[in-house]
Amino acid sequence: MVILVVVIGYPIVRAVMLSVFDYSLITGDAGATYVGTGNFSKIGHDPVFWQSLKNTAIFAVVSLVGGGLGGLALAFATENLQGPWRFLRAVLLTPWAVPVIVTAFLFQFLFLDRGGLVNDLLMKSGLAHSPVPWLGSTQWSLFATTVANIWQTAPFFLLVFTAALRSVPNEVIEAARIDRTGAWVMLWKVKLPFLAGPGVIAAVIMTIQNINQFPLIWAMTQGGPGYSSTTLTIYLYRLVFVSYNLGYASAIGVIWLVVLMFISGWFLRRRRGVSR
Amino acid sequence: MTIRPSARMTILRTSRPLRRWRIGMTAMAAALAVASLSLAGCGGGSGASDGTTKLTFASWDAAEPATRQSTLDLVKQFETEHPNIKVSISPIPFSDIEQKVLLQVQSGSAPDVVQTASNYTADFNAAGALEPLDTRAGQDYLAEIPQNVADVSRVDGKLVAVPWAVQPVGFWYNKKLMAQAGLDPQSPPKTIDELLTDLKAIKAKLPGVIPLGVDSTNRVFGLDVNWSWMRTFGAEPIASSGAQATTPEMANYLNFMRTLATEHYTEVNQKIGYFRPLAAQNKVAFSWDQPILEPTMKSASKMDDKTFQDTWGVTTLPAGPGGQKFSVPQDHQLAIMKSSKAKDAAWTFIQWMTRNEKALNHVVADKGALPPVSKPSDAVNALVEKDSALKAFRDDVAPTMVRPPWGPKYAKAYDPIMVGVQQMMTGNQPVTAVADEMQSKLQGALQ
Amino acid sequence: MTSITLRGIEKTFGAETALRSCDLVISDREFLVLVGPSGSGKTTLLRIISGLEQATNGEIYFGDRLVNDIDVGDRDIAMVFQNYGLYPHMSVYNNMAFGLRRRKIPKQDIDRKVNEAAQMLGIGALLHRKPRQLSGGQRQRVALGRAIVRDPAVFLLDEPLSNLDAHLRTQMRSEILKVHRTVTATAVYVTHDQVEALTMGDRIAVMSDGVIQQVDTPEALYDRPVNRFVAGFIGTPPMGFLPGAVRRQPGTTKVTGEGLHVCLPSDLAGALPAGTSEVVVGVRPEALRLVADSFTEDESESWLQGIVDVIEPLGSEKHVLLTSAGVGLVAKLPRTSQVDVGQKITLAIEPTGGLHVFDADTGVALRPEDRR
Repeated sequence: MVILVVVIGYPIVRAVMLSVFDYSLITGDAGATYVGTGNFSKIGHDPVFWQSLKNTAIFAVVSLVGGGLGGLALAFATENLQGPWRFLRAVLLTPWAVPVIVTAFLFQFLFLDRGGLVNDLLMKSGLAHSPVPWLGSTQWSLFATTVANIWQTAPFFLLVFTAALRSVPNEVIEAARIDRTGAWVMLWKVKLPFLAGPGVIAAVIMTIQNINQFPLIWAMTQGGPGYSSTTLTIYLYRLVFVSYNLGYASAIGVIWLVVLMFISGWFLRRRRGVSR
Repeated sequence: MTIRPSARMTILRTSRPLRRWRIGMTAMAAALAVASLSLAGCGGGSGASDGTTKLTFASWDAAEPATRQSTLDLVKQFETEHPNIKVSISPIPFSDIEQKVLLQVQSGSAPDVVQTASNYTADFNAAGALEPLDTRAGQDYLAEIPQNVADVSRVDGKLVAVPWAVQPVGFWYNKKLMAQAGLDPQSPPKTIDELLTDLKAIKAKLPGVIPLGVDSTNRVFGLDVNWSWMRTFGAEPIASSGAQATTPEMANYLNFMRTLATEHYTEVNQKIGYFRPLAAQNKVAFSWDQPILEPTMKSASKMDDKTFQDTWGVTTLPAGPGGQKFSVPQDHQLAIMKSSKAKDAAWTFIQWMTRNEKALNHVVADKGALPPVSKPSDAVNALVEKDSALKAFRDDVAPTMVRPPWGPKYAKAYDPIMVGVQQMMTGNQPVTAVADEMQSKLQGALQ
Repeated sequence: MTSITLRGIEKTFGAETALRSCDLVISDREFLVLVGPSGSGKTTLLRIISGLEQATNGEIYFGDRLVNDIDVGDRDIAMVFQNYGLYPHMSVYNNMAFGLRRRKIPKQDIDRKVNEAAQMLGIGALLHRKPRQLSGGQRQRVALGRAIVRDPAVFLLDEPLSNLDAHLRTQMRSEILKVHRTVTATAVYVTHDQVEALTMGDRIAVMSDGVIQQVDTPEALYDRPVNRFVAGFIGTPPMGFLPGAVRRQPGTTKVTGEGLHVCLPSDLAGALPAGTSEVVVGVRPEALRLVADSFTEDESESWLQGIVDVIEPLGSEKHVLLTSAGVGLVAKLPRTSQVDVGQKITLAIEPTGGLHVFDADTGVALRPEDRR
């Protein structure tokens, strides 16, 4: 327990302390100067921070909705698979097991300007006349990384929802059949409520994972072009490991901690409301 | 519709570990850097009781598959010749080595000798981590190094590292593709205007080919290679007087980059590594790349020397309005850390690595780079002579090398400048808007 | 008018046979109980009637309408499940209204029906609660309510009381019967508890090994079981079975064995097929009376002897478990009877009603009316 407190508490305390200094990794403790709330007020008019925050929100929310709905649809679609077809579900789960970095490279190839599958399909089907620069344009790069993230995370929801569907008591389903429930109402009104609880937990986990997603975006776009796919993690990474600006990065980290706590709190309150 | 779950299920029970995990995650995220600080590196060198001296050598050559084995062999050779020195290699990838070593410096566990390059050297020096080498090297040693090569290793006139493998960035041109595009393969573009004409011809004739490979990523290498292009247009966005992104010269450079992107002459936000395999397949006509492109392409395409030399040529970057030609040094250097307790042995090692016949043979044959001396031995010289690309690097490109204003401020400038370049290449903001934004960010960063 | 007719119903699950050639006719508004031990196929049969399960072979008629291919939602049935099967996320009101809404019944009619049913079942105050907030008995009432608001033609109940405690179970039995009288539906009720079966069923179908053994009124099942299985399953404590040899003597037929001496009444004796030498005698515990050992001296009396194993005092009476000729059986004796564990006792057998004779090999009851 003491170890836990130290391991968890020390970095937080250290981050809060660093956040009031102008601290560079290059100059270390010797070159640190106290700036008070300077780092925090700098955040206020740091457009990159706000764009990163917006990108993070878009990336996390769209990934969550896409992955959640995708996983839900797959769970319903594969619910009644029999015999060897159950293998299909195992296949659908593989993206979850694929290392993130492999996913990143996979989608980098899919989204290539030339020879990328996505552009090939778009051109052949006549939907696009010239290749869409998925990763090389400011309007598409966040979308492309989000799609890759959805592909990576939907199986997690598939897993959660499949397990939750199995926990729906047979008698409830049969009672609904006797009540002349059609497939759609069965799905939405009878089965879906059973998925809400596990779904909220899965959403919390995935939201935090999405917010903290780093390797996928870094490998696909390094946050670019411009700041178009720069999320907070990418921005922090750059601040810490490229500009070595630890003080400012810590200030953002502290803000981020507060944001994450707010989000988790909101989810947990929702969950409590849900289970009442 | 309201969604209500049935039973409490096991959710309630998961909440505590979940919360703990969340706090852990958050803490990790919030204090990513700080947490890493406590990651101890390898210990420094020390004299052992049996009379041998131990050195640690942090190197990316030892981490990268292409150079790993030959580097290990070379170090083993050194140990054979110097039985009283043991070298323990700490392989760290190029992209990580600066931050790893800086963290090791801050935690007092730096290696003795470090392989470094470009702005890394300046950052290490700014951290006060590098041992000045002028005295140790001495006149004779320094006299063997070409002046502009030695300058790459100097900060404020002080030698903080020594050149090991000299690697200017050069203008590669594919003669076969030029011929196919109706251009004279013996006459690569000499000016920016000629370059644009040639790119247009290539794009028109060879739609499947990327006319120009140039790294436009937001990182030190991206800014380094673009520094040459900026200088070509007369732009110097960071100067001693501060940020200078709003000059007409910078606007010309930015407009040129926008042309590259909008005309699809290159692909935006791609690392140079993206273009290399395509170059090996004759799908890149021109490329702004280091000598390492040659061994990379050869191993990818199994081209023999003859075919390679018939296909690829190297020259200087086309000249801009000022008529001057620029290249940027990406030389690999070796440096001794100030914290080392075995500086004498470290210097013995470095001197051997930068002067020994076998070591220089390794530089040319395995690393595909130029040796750090004006007059290498005949054998090493023969290796350079028989390679037309390397020869062009030595005779034409290396003399145009100009050291960018490396240093801690430069590190803070990658992001403002390269993001502006990318915005220019992918968006349609007016150049003045991009330059103004770049200027204000640069001013903030350079404070 | 919904009678239910099952003809030659068979059901297999892979290699397992769950039901074999079940024939059954249930009259309109009858309360029929399917009873049997677990694995006897009673629940499967109920599910085939409901349409939740398809029969492998055979025909099911509701009235004269063949319903084999009619979907469960269209069979006009309602079902009450062992674990209630309530929608946990819906209020009591919505649980009951859900099926009505699916059938597009006008809102005010739904409201009226739900309130009526809730009043009848005494759950009017619980309409806005969630199932989770109810006790087991209340949940079962909601399940009943959900079934009756639909006013179904067929009312199916699958062990609805087995999750309730004994006291509540007794109370709910009569409530279910009351509900049944109100809804005028044909009811099929599955239970493994023969007491529940005897107290509730107009008629009872006793099942074993996927076969309907006997369908009859509770009295007829008790008095005239068609085979050893039914005889042993119906009645508590259960009937005891003692093997014996048939001895035909002029004017009387006896069955005797070790510690067993039975003079068959003439109707039973007459029902014995000629040449039968070995039979099993079935004795109801209430047909036994403690007598002195000297009782055995009278050749015209029926009796058995055994060693007392266990004595279960029940207050008003006592059950004596004894072993006779290696077979265990029970005697129901007055509380004043003087017996001790380990004691050898003699019990007189009332020859009328409490005595049954079964074929030693097939277990079929040998009864006057069965002799053809």
